[in-house]
Amino acid sequence: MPTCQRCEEPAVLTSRKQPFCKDCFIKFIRGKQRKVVQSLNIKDKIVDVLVPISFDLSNTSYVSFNNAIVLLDILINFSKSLYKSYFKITMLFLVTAESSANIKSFYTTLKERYQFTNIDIKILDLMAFIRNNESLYNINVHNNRATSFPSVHKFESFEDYISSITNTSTREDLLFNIHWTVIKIFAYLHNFPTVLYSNSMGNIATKILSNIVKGKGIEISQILEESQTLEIADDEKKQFSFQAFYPLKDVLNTEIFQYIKLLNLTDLLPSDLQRQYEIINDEETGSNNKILNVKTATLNQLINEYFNDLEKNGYSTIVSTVVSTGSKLAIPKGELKECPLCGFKMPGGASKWLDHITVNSPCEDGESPSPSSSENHNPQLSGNPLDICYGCLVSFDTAGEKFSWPIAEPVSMSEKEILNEYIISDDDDE
Amino acid sequence: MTNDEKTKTKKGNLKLCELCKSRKQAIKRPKNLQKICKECFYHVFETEIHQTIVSNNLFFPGEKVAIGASGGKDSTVLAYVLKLLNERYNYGLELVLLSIDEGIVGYRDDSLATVQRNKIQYNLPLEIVSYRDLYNWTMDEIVSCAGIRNSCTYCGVLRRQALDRGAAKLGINHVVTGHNADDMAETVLMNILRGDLARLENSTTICTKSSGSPIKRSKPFKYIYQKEIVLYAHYKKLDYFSTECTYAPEAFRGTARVLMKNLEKIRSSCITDIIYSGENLVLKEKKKRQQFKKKQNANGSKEPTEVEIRNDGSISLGKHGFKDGNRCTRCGYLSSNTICKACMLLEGLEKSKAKIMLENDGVTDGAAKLTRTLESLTF
Repeated sequence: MPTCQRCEEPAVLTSRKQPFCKDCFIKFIRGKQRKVVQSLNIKDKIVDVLVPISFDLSNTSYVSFNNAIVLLDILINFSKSLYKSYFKITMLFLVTAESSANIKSFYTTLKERYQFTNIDIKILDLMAFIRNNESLYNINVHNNRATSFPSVHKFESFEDYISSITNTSTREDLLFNIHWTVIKIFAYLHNFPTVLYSNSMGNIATKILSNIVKGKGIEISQILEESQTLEIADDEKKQFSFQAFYPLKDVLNTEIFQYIKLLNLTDLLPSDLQRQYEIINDEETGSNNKILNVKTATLNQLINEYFNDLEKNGYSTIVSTVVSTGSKLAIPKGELKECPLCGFKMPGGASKWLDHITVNSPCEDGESPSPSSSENHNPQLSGNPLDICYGCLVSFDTAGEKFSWPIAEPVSMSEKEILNEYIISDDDDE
Repeated sequence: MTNDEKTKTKKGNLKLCELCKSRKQAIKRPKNLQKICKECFYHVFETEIHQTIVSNNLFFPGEKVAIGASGGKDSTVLAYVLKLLNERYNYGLELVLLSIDEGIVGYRDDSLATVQRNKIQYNLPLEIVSYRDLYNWTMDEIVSCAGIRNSCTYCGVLRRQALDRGAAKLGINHVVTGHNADDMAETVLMNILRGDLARLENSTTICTKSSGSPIKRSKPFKYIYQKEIVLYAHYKKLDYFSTECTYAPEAFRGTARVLMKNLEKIRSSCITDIIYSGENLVLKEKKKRQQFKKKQNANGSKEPTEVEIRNDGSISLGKHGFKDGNRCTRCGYLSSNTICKACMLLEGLEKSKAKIMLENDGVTDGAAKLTRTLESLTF
């Protein structure tokens, strides 16, 4: 049996080609967060941090939950060991009406396990985003052009809204946009100076590569930027700024699973996620999770599987290289505006670029084209023209007829009321 | 009524081209999945290349241009289309086929035979430059000496130089190559996966040029999908050589290629999307390190007296030593070091070369020779 290279105790696992005993592995993972903790403003006695966790219909919910419990464990341990300073952690669960049931039991187990009082929970129903259908606009993307007009579709629930998107990859993009927007608004409304995202190295690498693949390369630096801002339409236009960190950006997916296993953190997982954990990490059944039919998979799933395979085959350095490359990217100089759909800065002119590289006119030789052909080339789309970013133009081209989005001015104060209506607070737990 | 229904009902059950609405659908365009007729496909394919050439000012009237011709589908279509567009739009170009003979028995000799036929078919002059003449090595010898793993590294460096030298020999300052959108997208992905920051920002540049070199290289097929090139060559019945190089690409590049092909199955536009991302990738400005003032030398200049000798034996010329147009001291080719990359690689090869060789020994012939021999056998 190999021995741990650090303490000569019998090793229980191998990570990054190094054998580790349990204690050294835990120390190794926790040690990786030291830099992030040092960069937080711990001069104050209490560091207020927001940890968002998606717990909705997305495929990433399970991963998000796993990562979040590892992050919480690390933060709580730091908090207990830090002299004078400690964290006040607020977990923000992004849920749909159907998925919120398990969260309170998770919260109770968490408090019992750590005996840590400085932890709060907020549950936000994503239905808040649709805002009772009032500001929804129907978005129509056709022939590289986007138009918008007030939506005629009424959505009963968030599930109803999201299932109106027929393409699964587009649905993932939409969910990311919603999460990204809602977290920012929540941080502003509750004045959080710091948001800690629980994405692991593998998750970030997937995000970087999937953004490249989706024509959203320009967004990478905006997502990974430590200093985030939100435009506020108050009496006078201003910006809300907060810090955003990815403390687990140096931790591999396999290490997340090992960490959970060694510390028995699976007890914290809601029952259905516990089952998923067992299936995915079972060496025999784990292979069942391989994507069998590429055509039914989403772009993110394919890229995620690619990185998981690299990690398992000893190429974990490539995953870290991608993350490090992504963090060296910057926003291009020049005139940029905000995409009304995803909210990221964009150079504009995406439609023109596409028109320039793709010819859509018929060959005039031989038979003359029928008069009806011209309407196809220059269709008069109803609604107002909408200048959206290249990534959204491509992604929402396959969104379906019902695709709607709340196009609005930057966040206004009235949204506080809307969000508050959908925040399920538990007075007993405060 | 949807477009599909319109095209269906126009002439009974016959499905009509989505662009001209008058001819029968023949092709589903890999780029945007549009179902179009052959004529419209030729039209959009050729016009897109023309637009790329015009908008990027790739050529000027009277320019002498060398087409990097390997005999493969990309370069064959490039030669055909460039000749066609040159005549159609009066570019005023003088086109020449330029081939490199890497010396891969059973592969390159067959593909060069295709280029020889193309020379006659398109009535274009042809110049062949061989590794044997330039470097006194063939790729088969290099692989037998250095192994198959690094074959692309050697071949890439030597071919780039051979193309430049071939062009210079013909008095040409512009070489066009058949790199297509798939190659561009793959380069972006590889640069991200390898963390090649030096190349990342320029992954999708249509025109490249070695520093100080008068010879520029350009890629008119930058936005053309590989599948469309195959379709075009097929329908136009072009004469091309379709076997891939036997010294297959490295394993890691292969995984990225498979990933890209799978992604394309889900979203056909992803190749274009990757190029768009590549065009907008910008690196953060490097943090300036604190510079310490150098002490003046005995002769009064501020230049350092020490010269860095790298692990591979090359000598750094430093920030002030490199001048545009600096040349290799051995072969005279442009280089940022005293010895160019090709000479450095060849020096390493010379060291590990067998001292004594048998006459007419076929042991260095690669796998392609064996394949060709087997193909010619019959029962």
